Amino acid sequence: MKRKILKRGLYFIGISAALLVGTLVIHVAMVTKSKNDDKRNRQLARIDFTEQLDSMDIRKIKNSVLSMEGVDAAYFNVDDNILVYSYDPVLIHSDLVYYNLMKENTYKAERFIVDAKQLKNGCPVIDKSSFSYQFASAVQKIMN
Amino acid sequence: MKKTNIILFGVLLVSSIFISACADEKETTPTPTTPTLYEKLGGTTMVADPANSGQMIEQGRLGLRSVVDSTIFVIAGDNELQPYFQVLLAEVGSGNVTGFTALSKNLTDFFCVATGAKNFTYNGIASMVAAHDPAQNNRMGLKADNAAYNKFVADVVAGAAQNGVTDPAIISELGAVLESLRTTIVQR
Repeated sequence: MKRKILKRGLYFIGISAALLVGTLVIHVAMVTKSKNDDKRNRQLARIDFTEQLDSMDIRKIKNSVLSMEGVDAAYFNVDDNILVYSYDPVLIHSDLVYYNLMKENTYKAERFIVDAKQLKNGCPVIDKSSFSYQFASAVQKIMN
Repeated sequence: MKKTNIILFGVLLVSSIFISACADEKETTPTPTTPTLYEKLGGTTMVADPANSGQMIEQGRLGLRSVVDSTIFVIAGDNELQPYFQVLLAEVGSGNVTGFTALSKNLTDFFCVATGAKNFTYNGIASMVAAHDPAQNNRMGLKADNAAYNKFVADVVAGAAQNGVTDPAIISELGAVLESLRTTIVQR
């Protein structure tokens, strides 16, 4: 009889503990769930101009690039004549942006392309091969 | 029977501790405080996200993300800082998250948390010191110096200005957040 009661007690404790742990996991998941639902995936590209440009040229270049489907923002560093723009890689490729821009105009400019060696010296914030990044990404995927 | 009662009592006790632990959070009376920078930027008010059609976003986060995105553009076009951020301009294959997208999210999360947002967590890096030390992180090509960090702060201010954020009080608070990181990031 005693053994039966003890067995039931252990079952009860086990089930209770499992329920409590389950509740705790859900609670933690809800509390830590990221509300960042950014779904954008924008690629950044850069074109370096090797000739002096005036404000009209700069405006024309920006308008030309921004008029292309898939390009959503552009910034021009007037001190160094550098154009930086972002685009949706599904809709357009940076080669095409450069080609279209040069097709309409005759600027002296070249695309800034990062090579593999330069890439090794990237920003540490997005070291995608690191354990911490992969772990954080995995947890975030589960939470979201 | 007596044992069963003790066991049941124990289970009830543990349960009540769990429940009271959660209940305590709700019962805490908030003390009036000065608004955080996040609240000044719009806080948790939900607004349409211009970059994600059909989605809503907290106004505070949208403001910070706009500043961060503009700052990234400025950095990408800044020859002095470019060596630290090569990955921004690296093209990735289909389905992979770009450097711009990843850094935008990372920095926005960081600024949200640092300026007082409650609904976001920062999952960037475990240690700022280790992440910016080439000996511990092989992706860090060179140690950042004060000149590079000053340029970074200047680019953040330029990014903020591009979004119409020129209020000296807000810029000052943003600057304070950045200055709090200087000693961990600048290592030479």
